[in-house]
Amino acid sequence: MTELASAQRPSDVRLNARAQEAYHGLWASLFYSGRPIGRTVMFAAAAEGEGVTTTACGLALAGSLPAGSSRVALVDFNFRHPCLHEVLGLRAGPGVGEILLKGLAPDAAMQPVCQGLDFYPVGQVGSRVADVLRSQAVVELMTTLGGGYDHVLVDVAPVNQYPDAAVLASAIKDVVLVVQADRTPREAVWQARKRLESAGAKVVGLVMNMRTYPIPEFLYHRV
Amino acid sequence: MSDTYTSRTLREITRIVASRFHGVVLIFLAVVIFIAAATIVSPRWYRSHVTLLARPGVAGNPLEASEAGVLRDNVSLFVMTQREIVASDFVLASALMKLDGLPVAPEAPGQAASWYGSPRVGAFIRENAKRLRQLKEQVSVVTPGGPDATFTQNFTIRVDCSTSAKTMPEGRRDSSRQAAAMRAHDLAEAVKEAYLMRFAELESRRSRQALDLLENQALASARLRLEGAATAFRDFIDNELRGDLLQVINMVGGRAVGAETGDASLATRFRGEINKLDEQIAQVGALRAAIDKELAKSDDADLVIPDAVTAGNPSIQTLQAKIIDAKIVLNSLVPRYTDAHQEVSHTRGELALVQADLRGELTKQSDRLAQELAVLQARRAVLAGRVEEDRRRVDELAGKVARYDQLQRSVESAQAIFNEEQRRVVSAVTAEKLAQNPVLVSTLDDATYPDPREPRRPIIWLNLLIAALGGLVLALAYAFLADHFDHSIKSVDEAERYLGVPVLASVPRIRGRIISHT
Repeated sequence: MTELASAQRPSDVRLNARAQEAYHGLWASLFYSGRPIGRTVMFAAAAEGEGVTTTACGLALAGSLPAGSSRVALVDFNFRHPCLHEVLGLRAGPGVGEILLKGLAPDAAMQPVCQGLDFYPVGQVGSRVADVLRSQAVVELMTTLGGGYDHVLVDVAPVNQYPDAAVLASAIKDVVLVVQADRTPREAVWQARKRLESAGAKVVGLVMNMRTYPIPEFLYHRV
Repeated sequence: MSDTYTSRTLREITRIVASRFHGVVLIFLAVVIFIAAATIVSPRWYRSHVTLLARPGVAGNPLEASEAGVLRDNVSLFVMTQREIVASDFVLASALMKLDGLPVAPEAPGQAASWYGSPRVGAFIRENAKRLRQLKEQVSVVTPGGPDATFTQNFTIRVDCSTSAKTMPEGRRDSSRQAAAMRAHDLAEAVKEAYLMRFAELESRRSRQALDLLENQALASARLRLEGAATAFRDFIDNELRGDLLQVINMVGGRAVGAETGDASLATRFRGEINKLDEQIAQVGALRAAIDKELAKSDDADLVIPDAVTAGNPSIQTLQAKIIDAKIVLNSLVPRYTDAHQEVSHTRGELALVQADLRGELTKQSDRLAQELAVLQARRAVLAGRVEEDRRRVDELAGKVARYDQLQRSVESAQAIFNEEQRRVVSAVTAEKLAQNPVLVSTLDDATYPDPREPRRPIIWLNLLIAALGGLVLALAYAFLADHFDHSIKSVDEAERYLGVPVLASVPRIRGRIISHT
């Protein structure tokens, strides 16, 4: 069935079948479980390399299935180490940077990925990341996007390394923390949560990424 | 899959081990392989035995121990002593010197003691301290079957020798098995010879010491002194004291209580009496002198009698009363009558008569006093003589007491010295018994040649078992410690427990690309 869903895509961006299953579950528990959650959700991690970009991208791909069931926007706010466009195989600009600094229309920066999923790349901001994120333009952009889509998913730089997520928290209230299992110490995750909450954000929940199951299956069913 | 406490614990343990399975297996295998390799590579050991027999030098039980327990104690003590002798530096150094080809012999024949004290051995011990220490670990003394309850005892010197042979001289460190077996035999033989030499030396020294104790002159001289002192004491009592013995013993005994029993009390006792006599003599003398003075007067009428004389003599009192009566009559007659009156002349005549009588009486009294004086003086002379004699005797006794005392002391001290010597002789007698019953040690079996094909091989499966257990413990310790210090989030439970945020989903690790595009 999932193979069928992938085949329905007009574009050639494909999601691994097992991953799609997992991201469907995540989508369901985020939006279909009656949680008090807004349209805009920020995806952040405590440290670099936890898989935030992949999670946001996979979730957007899974959420927009079956094709056209909901309209999803995927926005790259990770000015530090942008890679969402590489994952999708799309252009890096113009994007959010131009919208915020030069007043570019959001539609001009939008790149469609597939039916129901639009991508807003990171663009260029130079060295003024904090200023840009603090500006009123961010709030305006979010309002615009919130009006145009059912769900807006935002990728952001690591919380413990950059202040970006905390600054952005004034515009985006709901945060999902992505944690790589067996890697990130719980103290770091705790630290990230504390920073976000003191900036006014609300940590909706955790996503345990790259989870492994060390107990072999034959043993797992016996003990 | 139940969710009881036990199964959860079991699952946790399984998880801890499984998540670091490679590390655990690596550690386990490393330990086991290391031990196995060490066991296989370790040098092979060969053991040579020398069996020796210890028995008393004369027939019969030298220890006179009727109880088996005492005998057993003695035997095990003996074996323990032999163990010390074998493991002593001198014996081991002698064995090594023999192996090294150095001369091993007393410097003078029949004087093994000089060999053990010789500076050559001392220098060898200092230079080869490490070899000696290794050899000490290779040599052991055992009694096969434990100490016997009989008075012969066999015991075995065991010498182990490995193919690595660090104790051997430079030229003999061939690592072949043949050579190692040969070395074990040679070493055992050398140790045995060195031990036997040392044992004989110690044994002869012991008997010599025992004889020295016996030949000690001190006891004889102490006995002579005691006898001399006793003889002198007896002679003194027989010849000089004789009848005074009891008194002298009393005085020696009483001297401790009070020294006043001698001449001093004697003198005070007699001195009082003599003083009293002197007083009486003076009184009597004075009385007689007074009487003699009166008698010297020519006229009887002038006689005045001293009161002391009157008091002691009734006839004089009567005469005086008569004189007074006659004088009263005469006084009443004289104014009235002339001298020629008959009564007057008669009374006068009577008065003259009485006075004449008085004189006579006084004369008699004087004579009596003279006699009394003589008696008193004689008594005094006797008393003074006795005092003098007593003093002389007391002086003589004091000399005897001092001598008696001195002799008695010398006898006592001689007795004490003699007793002390005698006590030493009692131990010397025991030593003599031992000296007359030396223990002989002889060789029952010469050093054995171990079979070069059959070394004392290590028990490989036991070593491996121990290695496996140790490896398991180490590996598990590693796994649990690593898990304890690893604070990464491992499960949904853990994430919710530590962070208080719900886990929305867990995405498994996926091999290959998650999102692909062409």
